Amino acid sequence: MKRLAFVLILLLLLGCSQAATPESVTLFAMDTSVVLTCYGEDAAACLDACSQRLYELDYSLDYHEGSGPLNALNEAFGQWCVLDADSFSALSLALEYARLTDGAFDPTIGSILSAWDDFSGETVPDEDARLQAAALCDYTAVELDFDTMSARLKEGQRIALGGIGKGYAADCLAEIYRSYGCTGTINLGGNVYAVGRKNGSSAWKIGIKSPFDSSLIRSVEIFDCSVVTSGSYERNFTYDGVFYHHIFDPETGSPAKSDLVSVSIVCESSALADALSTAVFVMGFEKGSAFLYENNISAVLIQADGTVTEVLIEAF
Amino acid sequence: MKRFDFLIIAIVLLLSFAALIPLFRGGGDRVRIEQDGTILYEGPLNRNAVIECEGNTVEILNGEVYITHADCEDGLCQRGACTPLHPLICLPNRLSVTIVTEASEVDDVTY
Amino acid sequence: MSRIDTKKLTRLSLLIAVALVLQYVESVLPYPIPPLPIHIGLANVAVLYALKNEGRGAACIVGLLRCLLFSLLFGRVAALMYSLLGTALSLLGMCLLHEKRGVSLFGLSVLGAFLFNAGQLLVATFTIGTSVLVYAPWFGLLSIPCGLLTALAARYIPKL
Repeated sequence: MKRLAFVLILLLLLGCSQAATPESVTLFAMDTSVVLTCYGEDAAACLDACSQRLYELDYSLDYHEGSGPLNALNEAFGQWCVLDADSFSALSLALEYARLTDGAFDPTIGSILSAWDDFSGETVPDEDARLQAAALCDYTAVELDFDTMSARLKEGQRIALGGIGKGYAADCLAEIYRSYGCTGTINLGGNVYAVGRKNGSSAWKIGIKSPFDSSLIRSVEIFDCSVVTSGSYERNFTYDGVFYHHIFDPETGSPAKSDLVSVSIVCESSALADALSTAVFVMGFEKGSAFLYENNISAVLIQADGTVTEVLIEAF
Repeated sequence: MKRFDFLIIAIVLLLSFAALIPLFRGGGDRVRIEQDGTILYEGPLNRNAVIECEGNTVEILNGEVYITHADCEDGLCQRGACTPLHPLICLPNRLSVTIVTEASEVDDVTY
Repeated sequence: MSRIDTKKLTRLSLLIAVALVLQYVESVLPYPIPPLPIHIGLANVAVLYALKNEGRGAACIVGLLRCLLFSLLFGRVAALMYSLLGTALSLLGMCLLHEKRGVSLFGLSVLGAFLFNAGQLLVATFTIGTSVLVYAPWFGLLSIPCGLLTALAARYIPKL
């Protein structure tokens, strides 16, 4: 009897080591607050590697005035421009998603962002400027050369990977977690990736922030999966009594007139989830839900009147 | 001191005590850090973390929350630990650290 | 404004000056009750004095100008939005109940202090978030002793 008790206690202790306190780090990268929570023996080393990778990605995916390869591409005036591995990879993924969503997500949205002064809140361009910028927004005009890892834009076009950057980074960091045998959560300014299972067997419970108040309106249980949210309540400003949010419609050059206020995509690829959260928002409730069902992608859609719709969430 | 003075004082007392009631609605086991009205971080109290914000550093260690660094003039926010009755607020940096309760315990939040 | 009483003008200017000095002194001293970010409100002594001896209009002038000039002269522009709403609410309340039967300077002062704090908290909920409302009960309770103190001071300062 005593031996059995001893063995049981030993097993219990072994099991408990999985539920140990995680290592956590918070830093500022990619223009947002990044919180990494890591469980596992090599958690500390894993987080160090993640921090390093994050700063690399911050540089490669940055498209603002700076020294990154994407900025060089934007200033190349229609010439071929060599990119680095990450920026090329992210750009080609972005173009793939643009094709998938028929342009609702478009990485060449940079020209529109430029017209709005990168959404500083101080510039509201007139109708002409918006349409001009929208005309330049055309993913089909971007050429890629996979051999030299270079890209060419039509003159006047600008790349902005804000709609896919965090997702792409989350995927990269999730890879690092797995390579170190760690589990945990990765949160880049609300873009969440849950790696592995919690405590060895359960799923991670991820709350979705309500667009209307500071509560959590829903939660999803996932493992080895990502949930990314786009909403008009996040970045916005009011000028002269008119409300402008930051999710632009590539066709009009204005903030998308959508009946949705928040879109949360649940998907194993964080880059896809990120891109789709923007695309589905632009599509609106009807077209967006149809797209999700057609492509078998789970999501939580919240409309302006407060209706919350779960699409294919039972699958989890 | 005239008679309506006492009425005014009584009303002020009443309103103040009324404002106390919401504070006793449960202790809370999550830490929420907000700056400029945006939630920068939200996590369980028992998760150790160091959060760098614009102008302040918040540390969560062994169930206690402190602001360990602040570039503000008065340093008021650095006095004492954060409790449900005592949030850490750095006015110049528009930062607030509060203890909150959520109905269901989540591991992370997407927004 | 056809006839400006120069004596009254001088008295008002002096009161504004006194209010500014009192405000400044308080601003350099540390908060009396940390960690609460609240002062006793010494500058209100001048406002109360103006209310009692010169009337509503004078009190409003002293109060509002103290607010504006303090931020301009001492470079505290960020604090202006907090103090402006607080001052406006406080003056509104005090002027409404001024010279009503059964209300003395003490009652007015407590009301004024309470409304001033309420105004500041209101602005803070917009800039920082609803978490600042934790201060509400303490600010409310403190407005009683602070209000009584400033009224006491205003009562027993001899006429200039």
